[in-house]
Amino acid sequence: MNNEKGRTGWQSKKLVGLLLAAILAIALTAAGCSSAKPATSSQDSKGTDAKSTDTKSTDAKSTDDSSSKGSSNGGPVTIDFWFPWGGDYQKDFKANVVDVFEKQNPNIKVKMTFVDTTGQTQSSDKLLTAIAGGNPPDVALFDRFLIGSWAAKGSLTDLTAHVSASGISPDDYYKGVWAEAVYKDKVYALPWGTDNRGMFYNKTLMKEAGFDPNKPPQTLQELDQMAEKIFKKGSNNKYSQIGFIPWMNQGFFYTQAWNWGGKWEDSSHNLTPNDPQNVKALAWMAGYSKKYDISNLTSFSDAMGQTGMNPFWTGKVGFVFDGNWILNDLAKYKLNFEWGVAPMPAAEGNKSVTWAGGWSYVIPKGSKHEKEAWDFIKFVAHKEGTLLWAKRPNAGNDITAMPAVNDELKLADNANLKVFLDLMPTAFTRPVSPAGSFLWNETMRVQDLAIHGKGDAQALLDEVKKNVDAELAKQSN
Amino acid sequence: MPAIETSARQNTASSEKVKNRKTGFEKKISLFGFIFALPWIVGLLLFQAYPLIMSAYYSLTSYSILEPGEFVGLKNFTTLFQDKVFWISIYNTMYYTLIFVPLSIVVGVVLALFLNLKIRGQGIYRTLFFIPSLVPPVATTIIWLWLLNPQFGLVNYWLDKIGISGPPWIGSEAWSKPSLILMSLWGTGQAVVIYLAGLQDIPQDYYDAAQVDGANGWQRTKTITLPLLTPVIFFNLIIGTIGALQNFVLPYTLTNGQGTPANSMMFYVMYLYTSGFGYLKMGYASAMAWILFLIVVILTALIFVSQKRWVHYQGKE
Amino acid sequence: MGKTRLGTVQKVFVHALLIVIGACFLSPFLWMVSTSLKANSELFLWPPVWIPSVMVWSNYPAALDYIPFFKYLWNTLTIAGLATLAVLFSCPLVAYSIARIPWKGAKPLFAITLMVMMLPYQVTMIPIFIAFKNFGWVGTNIPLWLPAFFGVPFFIFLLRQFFMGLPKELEDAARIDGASELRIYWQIMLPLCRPALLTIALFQFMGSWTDYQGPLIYLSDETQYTLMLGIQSFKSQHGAEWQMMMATLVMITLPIVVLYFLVQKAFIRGITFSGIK
Repeated sequence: MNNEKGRTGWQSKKLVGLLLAAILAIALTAAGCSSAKPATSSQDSKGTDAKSTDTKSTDAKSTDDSSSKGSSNGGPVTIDFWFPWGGDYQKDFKANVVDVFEKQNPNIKVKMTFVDTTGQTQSSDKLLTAIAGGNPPDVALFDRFLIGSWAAKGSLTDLTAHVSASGISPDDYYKGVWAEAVYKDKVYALPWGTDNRGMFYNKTLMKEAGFDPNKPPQTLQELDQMAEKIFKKGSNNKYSQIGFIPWMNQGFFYTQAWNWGGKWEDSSHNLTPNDPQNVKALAWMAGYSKKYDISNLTSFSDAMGQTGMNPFWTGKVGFVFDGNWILNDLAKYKLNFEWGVAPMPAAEGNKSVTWAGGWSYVIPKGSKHEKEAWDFIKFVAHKEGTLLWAKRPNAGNDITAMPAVNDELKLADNANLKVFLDLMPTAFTRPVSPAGSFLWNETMRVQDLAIHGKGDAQALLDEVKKNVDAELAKQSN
Repeated sequence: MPAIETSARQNTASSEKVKNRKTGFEKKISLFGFIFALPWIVGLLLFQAYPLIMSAYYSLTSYSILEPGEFVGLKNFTTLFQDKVFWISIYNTMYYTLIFVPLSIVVGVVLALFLNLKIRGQGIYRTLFFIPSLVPPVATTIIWLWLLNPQFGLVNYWLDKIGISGPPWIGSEAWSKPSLILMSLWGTGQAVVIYLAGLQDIPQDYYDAAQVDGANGWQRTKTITLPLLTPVIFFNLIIGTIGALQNFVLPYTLTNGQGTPANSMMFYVMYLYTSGFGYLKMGYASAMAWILFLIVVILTALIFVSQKRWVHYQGKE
Repeated sequence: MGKTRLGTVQKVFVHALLIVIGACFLSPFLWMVSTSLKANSELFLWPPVWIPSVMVWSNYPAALDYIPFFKYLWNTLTIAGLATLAVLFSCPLVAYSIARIPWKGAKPLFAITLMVMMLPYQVTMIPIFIAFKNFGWVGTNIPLWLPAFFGVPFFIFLLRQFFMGLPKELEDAARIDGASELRIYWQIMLPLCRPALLTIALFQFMGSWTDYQGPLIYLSDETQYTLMLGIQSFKSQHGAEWQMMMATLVMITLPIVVLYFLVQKAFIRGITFSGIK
């Protein structure tokens, strides 16, 4: 018995040794192979053993084949276009823009795919995974603000040559908006659409609380006072209506810092998350969570959020900071209250400000149809496509990234929209930096911590500053 | 009839002829054994050993796939140990593991004890508890998101009815992990089935003997059933712990990969996935994977060592 | 507690307890079905209603239009089918070799198999992704079924346990008759372990059906999505339309429940086998 044990023990040792040797051999050959071009040979070998059963992989193969044929034979090329917008975007964009493009470019077919945003930014882990996996879409609708970090990572295609060849001028777009598409003097995207933030206020609730519904708060201090009177609890001690929650909807710490007169970068483009006014803004936000009890507030906004309806349109919220795009919801709802919109209040002694974000079209690194993808981007994100999209019947409240188009559309005639449009020329945009999205995530993280009473504003923001600098140092290595 | 194995082993003194024939047979049989096992041997090399080694290698590099990697030594590990989210994710994962695994064992064993009673409708009851474990995890999160809605959810409605003001559940930092544990417990049906099988394996003689001694139901459960069920509990403890440490799909789909609120749902594997596929820090993620591997090995070893103290195998006393 | 006789009072108590707990276990399931039949206007009623005033059966066909359900179903079935075929090919071969063929590698291989069962998926996930990427297979479903052709440790373990339970005389007699190992395997052993094969097939099928992380990493093209990716995408695209989501959930859960009732025995056997050494 013992003997036998000893023997198998020895044998298994020998076997492990053999295994290790074999692994090393494989590892070495694989490392050698990995630089080889994969597509052609492997595709073929796979085709032989799985042809009859695996229709999906043959599908993938046939699109690959048709695409390579496409560039040589001039047959139609299908470009894969990913977007993260739910709702009616797919239908509307196809009908108003893509169909026109396909008519003008019979050689290009556009396949639209919804890919939801995951993680802490407006982009998608899936998109990055697809780029890393060597199988990205050809075009993506992309949060402009992330261009800096993604370009720094090498995951976007440099469009500078295409832009200069096609005569597109930076002046065609708002200045801040264009700046967001440029990283280290190279253009990585064409801006498309923009937006900024204002304050929506519920006139009915203001009236009930004894305020003049036509005099929305001008300063944050006034806002605090009015909001306080609107908070109301129901029988179960939960809020039945809310005055104001600083972090609701577009009231990110990012937004509030600007409202408090803070800044995110200094004149020499250093990131300044712990600017003294930023600290005040975060402390102010944390003050709300303490005063009104964070779990009670969260339970209210969660319940609202999970219904899928913007809390403001339920009529149970006094004030909210939100974007011009929520004006689009008006077509959907019959509201039983009166409301208005105004610039966001600023801290005492400051002027109202806003910040603009928006979207853009990019070509992910590794696109197999760069030329066609560029044709598409140029069409949709320059004047023609922008106008087509902005003119769609239900576009009412979008602001395009091109001032000339906005003028042509006479957007200023819409009183609600004019509030936002007038803020556009002075609107801030977020700093373009490889650590841009990292900074955003950090602000979201400390916002979460601060409003949950975990840590003091100054300490948290000093930590953000430290983390951001470390991240930048890591990137520049 | 002697087994071929043993007869082949006592051959040292036998004649050349016999030896040749026997080794011939051994050779042939070894060849067959090897060929039959070949897919798995290749699989072990390709899908286990090679990635394991490469993962160790990547953990020493800074590698984004898009650009060539760079050897950085132990930097990923030193950065990790200073990374707050890393520690938060460890805390969350341990919190979940240490509460969910014991709880699921208690719930599973208790349910199994009741379902093992000879009562009418036993089969129906068993099916009832088993069905939820058939629901795919992605579906589970959506159903529970709806059930746990603080304002419109069924759970808080019931709590309200018995006079409890329901918590905000998934939306709150304090309640998000308990919500997740609740969801996971909903799917314990599989464990119940395993316990039931274990219960049926306990020979009736033990009970008969106890009956003679005049032991009542609870005493029998305590002195016979539970000790004899410990091997099954032991098995579930190991499987459950390893599974809980790898908790991913529920929190990921629940929070859309964000781990909100306040990172309270950022679990270890979620952070690993986010680092790897959300930020393309493959080296960093590989370092995390190896740390996870070590944690799994250590915890499993601890459970194995503890086995002597509390696991009773039938026939051994 | 095997054959303990219960008094009437005890019986009533046990029934009451099981009914209450059972209701808790079943109600999420019923709530899903109930919601799937509600009109939009009844979703947010307070107090909640269990039985919709009008059963909106049309939610089901309507939900099919929200996501390309049948395409995702086909994609899922393709992957699950191939992976199931794969494990049916590889796992019994390996298990047979480990359990029944007296060769030197059997024991070490079994030990390694047990160890590998504990290796977290995440450790191998990144290198395997990179390797598949180098083959150009990211964005195809190949990575989701190919590895199964090389064996799945848990199934090998399970089948090995089953093979060990068969009487030894079976192949001894056949060997003496001069049957080849292949014939012994194919004609004697495989037919005998049909129940165990059904079990692993079922488990693999369910595993592929409900898998989320694999498709999340490897499938990028929406036309290749599986049902699990589809439902998650549904949630982020039309998250407020609970009745449609629930209808879809019913449709992706029901096949598994039906499968369970069809092959209940194999299910229970598989689960118990995994727990008993």
